[in-house]
Amino acid sequence: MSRHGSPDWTEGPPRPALRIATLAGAALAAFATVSLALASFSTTTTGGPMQFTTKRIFPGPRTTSPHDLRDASSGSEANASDPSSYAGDNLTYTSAGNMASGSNKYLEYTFESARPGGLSVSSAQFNFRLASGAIILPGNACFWLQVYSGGTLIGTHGSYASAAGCGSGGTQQTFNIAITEVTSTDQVNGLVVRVYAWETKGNSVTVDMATVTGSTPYSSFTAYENQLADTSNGTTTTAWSLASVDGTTYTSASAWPSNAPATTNYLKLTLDPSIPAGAVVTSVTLTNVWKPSGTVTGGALCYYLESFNGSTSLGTHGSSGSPLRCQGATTNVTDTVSLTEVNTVAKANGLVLKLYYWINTACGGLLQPACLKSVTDQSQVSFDYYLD
Amino acid sequence: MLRAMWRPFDLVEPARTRKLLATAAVLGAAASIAGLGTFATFTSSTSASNTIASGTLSLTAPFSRLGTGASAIAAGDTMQRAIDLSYSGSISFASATLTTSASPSSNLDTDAANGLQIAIDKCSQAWTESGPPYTYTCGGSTSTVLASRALIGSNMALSNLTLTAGSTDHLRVTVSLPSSADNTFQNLSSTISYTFTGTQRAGTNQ
Repeated sequence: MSRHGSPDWTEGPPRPALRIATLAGAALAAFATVSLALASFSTTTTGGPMQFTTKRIFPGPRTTSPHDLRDASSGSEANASDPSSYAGDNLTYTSAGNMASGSNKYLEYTFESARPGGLSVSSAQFNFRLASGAIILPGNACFWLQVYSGGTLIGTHGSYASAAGCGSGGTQQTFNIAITEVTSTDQVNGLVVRVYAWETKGNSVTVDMATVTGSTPYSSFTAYENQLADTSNGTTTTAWSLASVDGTTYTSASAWPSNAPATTNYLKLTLDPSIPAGAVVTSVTLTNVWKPSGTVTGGALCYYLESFNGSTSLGTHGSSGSPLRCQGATTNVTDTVSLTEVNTVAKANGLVLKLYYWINTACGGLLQPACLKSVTDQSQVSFDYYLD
Repeated sequence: MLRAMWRPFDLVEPARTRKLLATAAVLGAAASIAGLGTFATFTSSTSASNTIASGTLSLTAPFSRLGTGASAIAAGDTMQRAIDLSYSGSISFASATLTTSASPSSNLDTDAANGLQIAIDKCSQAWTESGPPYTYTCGGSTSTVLASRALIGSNMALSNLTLTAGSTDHLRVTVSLPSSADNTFQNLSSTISYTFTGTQRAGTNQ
């Protein structure tokens, strides 16, 4: 009620409401004034859109050593491949000591770093082929394993109580263990698989193959081991002889021919770079570190090489008349050979190299110095490629 | 009865009061204007017309390669694209900025350190283009418009532009993927849009 006794709605806006309305009006006016004062013209123009897409695989070198090595130094080819890389080739590795269940003795495989980094990996698996090492009354060879990447344990498969695989007696049996924890090529490169193997009668274990296979979005691959550590009898480490310059060498089975090379006498290296289809191969380079097995009296051990795509010759580097290199002393020499003829994915993936060695003086005959062997510390091929 | 229909303002509800007041105000104003004519007498006057027209501010890009992307790039790659900024209105500019955005986006544009970088320089005359892939040479003098930085940004200030009405700045936009971009940058894609904004010069006496 108002002071005059009439209803409020008959008196118009009360004084507080008037004040609020006045203030609001003033504020609005001030805002409009300031806005007008600060306003100025502006205009825009646009560019694009501009799409950027990166290569699926960046350019870079990927190095691998041939794990398939054939030695024809005698004139007939013999398989001198990495015993752990291929199944069914009668080349195996037998543990240095016995391996009983619960002994915590293991065979530890370190795999090569041959894949381009940063790619996803699917269907990774560890392929292990083993049998009892006992010749008489063998037990069964069993195993469980751990997977390490960058020194970190990333997966465990099985246990002594629950084997990841168990063979039967002395018959080699292959087990393909899915290692789904391996999801990128960064993990595959340098992957370590520690296999706790045992023989049910406490004997040694013989391994025919230990590889890792898988697929990137662009190709499938096989990773080969470059080093095996065996703790079954102390710790012995066996590096694949051609993988690195480390003093672990491959000595040819026989001495090389006298005076001139022969196309029947060679070391044959077969590469498996697993380069994706559609990639652009920009360079392929062989690094060969070698020496003669002894000082060559009055001459040197020489070689030249020939590249093949499978069995099709691609080119030669050096010749019998112009060796790629001759070395008479027992010190390592390093040859870096650019294989420019290997310029496609097909040629790279099917690359075979034959190295023809010979003693460039008469040797091995009556009153002649003995012919010598070659000692190879490293044969490594670098494949430089990218994938758009 | 008549009294009942004619209710004083202070006896009606407030909303209706406001409507009545507004109506009265409008009627009053109309009456005043009419009255001016009705009650006019002889007068004498002189007049001067004064037309005040605002100018125009216009920023255009009569030539642009910014719509040309790049595929299968690798770390260390550089992409050059030219664009002419034309100040075609009647008012000069005080400043210009660039805003960039990405859609779709990827690590290419979100990683400020190792992702795509941008730099802009200006040639005093039109760039000489070759390619594709496009590269440019300047027959005159060059100056830096935007120093190298991460590609994505808002209102990035552009320097050394002419900005004068009627003139054109010849720009070269250089986008690069640093060598530090590692394998995680493989197989990525980003689409970048560019918006150049010009603001008028300060007001002056006219």
